[in-house]
Amino acid sequence: MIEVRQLTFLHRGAKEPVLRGIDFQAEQGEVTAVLGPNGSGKTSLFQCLLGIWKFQEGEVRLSGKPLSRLNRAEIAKRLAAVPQEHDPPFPYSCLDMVLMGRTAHVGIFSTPSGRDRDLSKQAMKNLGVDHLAGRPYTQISGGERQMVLISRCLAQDAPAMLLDEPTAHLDFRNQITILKKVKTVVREKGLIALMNLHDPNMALLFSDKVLLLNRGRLVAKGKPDEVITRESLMEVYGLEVEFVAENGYRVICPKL
Amino acid sequence: MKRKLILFGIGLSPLAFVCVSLLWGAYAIAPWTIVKVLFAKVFLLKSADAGTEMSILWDIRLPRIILSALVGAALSGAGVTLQGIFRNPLVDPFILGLSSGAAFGCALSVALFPRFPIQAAAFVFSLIASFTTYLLARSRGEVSRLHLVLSGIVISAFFSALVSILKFLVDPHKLVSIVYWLMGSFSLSDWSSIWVACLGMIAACIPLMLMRWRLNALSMGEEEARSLGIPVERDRVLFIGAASLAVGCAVSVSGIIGWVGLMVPHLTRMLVGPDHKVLMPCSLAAGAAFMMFADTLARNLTSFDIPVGIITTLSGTPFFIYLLKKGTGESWGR
Repeated sequence: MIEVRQLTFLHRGAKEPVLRGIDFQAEQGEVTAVLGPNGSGKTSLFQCLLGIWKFQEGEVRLSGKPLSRLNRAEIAKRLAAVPQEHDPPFPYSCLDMVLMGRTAHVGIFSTPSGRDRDLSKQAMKNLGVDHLAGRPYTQISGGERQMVLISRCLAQDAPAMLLDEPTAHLDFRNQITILKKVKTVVREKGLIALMNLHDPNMALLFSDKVLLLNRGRLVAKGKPDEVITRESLMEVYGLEVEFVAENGYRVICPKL
Repeated sequence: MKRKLILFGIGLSPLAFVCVSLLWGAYAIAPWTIVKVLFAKVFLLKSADAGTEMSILWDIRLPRIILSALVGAALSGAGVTLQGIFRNPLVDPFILGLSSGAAFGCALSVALFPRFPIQAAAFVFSLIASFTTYLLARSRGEVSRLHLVLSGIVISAFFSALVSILKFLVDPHKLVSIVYWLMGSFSLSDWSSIWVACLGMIAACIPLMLMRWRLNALSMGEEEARSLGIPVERDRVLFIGAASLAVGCAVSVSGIIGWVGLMVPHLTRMLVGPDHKVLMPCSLAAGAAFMMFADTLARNLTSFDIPVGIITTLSGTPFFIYLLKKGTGESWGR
């Protein structure tokens, strides 16, 4: 479980906090979508949860332990992250990329064992990208890269994962494929997933819970249908929208 | 299969060049004599007729071979490390100022403080140079590639200027030895002068070898490395410290030998791929082999010793250009 209590964060020297009083928890087997306009604090929230940025007030607990008392490897064993944009300096093979997920489990003076390799290959199989193992990561498509990075999260063997805009730069089909896969994996393995999304429609389709952020505050949280409404979208994005219902789906359509 | 062959070849290359270097010299010695003499020396046997051969092999050729192998390994190991932690294929010990720092330390010790051990001075100043470069390039927790190269050039230029001041100040006799030594040469090698530096280089390469796999994750950038579970600051300090020790000791015995730290890691990466678990040992072996090759040429091409730095640059450049033109992107993968 990820528990966040009254988290407040501001950059050094800044007057306005980037995040204030954020309060939520994310449960096992659930996909939580974080929605909000650019600059609302979505990425800052993730950086704070990973302990990369130090927040000034509040508390974060990962699997019951306060974040402040965990070292880097301990955090990595509790929380894995899929980074946003990605361009490694060297053309590592996809298997080497996934193996990096084992870093927290491999000693500082050691190299990955046969078991680490097996776990990594299994993780790639789970996401259906095991055929990419020998290919250079720099030469595969954006969708395939996301799949490889999500396999790396699985190889990291943490109960929770953060996905920072997993659908950015992907075509329509790949967006759907990735989110479907995330949802299945989270269900099957009882993981916690927290992901930043830009498209509220995707949140309606694929999330179990939604956090709506605006200017560093948590405006609403709860079931997607309850949080994503005409009023809340108006407030947060300043956009008038209509909901279209068809075949049991609720779809947001901006008013033109 | 092809990959296994390449790995096998790289692994055996140092051994091959040890043999070539032992055999090829101004004084011709038959292969069988070499075996006999070394065998006798190692097992402390008395050998009646081996006086001259013994001293040529044991006192002249072997120290240079060992030294050039270690310097080659140390420089390319440091190159792999720096390229990995700074996720920047453009850097090497020379560009980041480590070599110039070490050179200043040595020159200082030669010119003004002859009592201060030269290896220690080289290590300290190479450490100062590398950390200054790193801290200059670092802003808000990230090291930008451009800033890193620029601050490396600045630090390098700064220490070169300091070396020039020393050259200006010392007496002509010392000046000659500083200048010749700065060109990069193994011609001063004998057993007594090299063992401290050798121990230093071996001591530096051990942590580089042990921690090599972490370079993969470190090369993904600070934030990603952290989220993978690496305490980035601590690991960088360990890697930079070990690389500085390697470069400091290398420079203290052989002066500034350019190109090896940049070229060998690149060549090896083109051959075996970027995974540091394989790349590091292969680079150490290839660096050792390349340096022995270069030094053998330096000894034998003309009647006098050519500074080996000239050979490494002359032989390295065209080879590198060829591979760069031939291997566009694809071959860098595997």
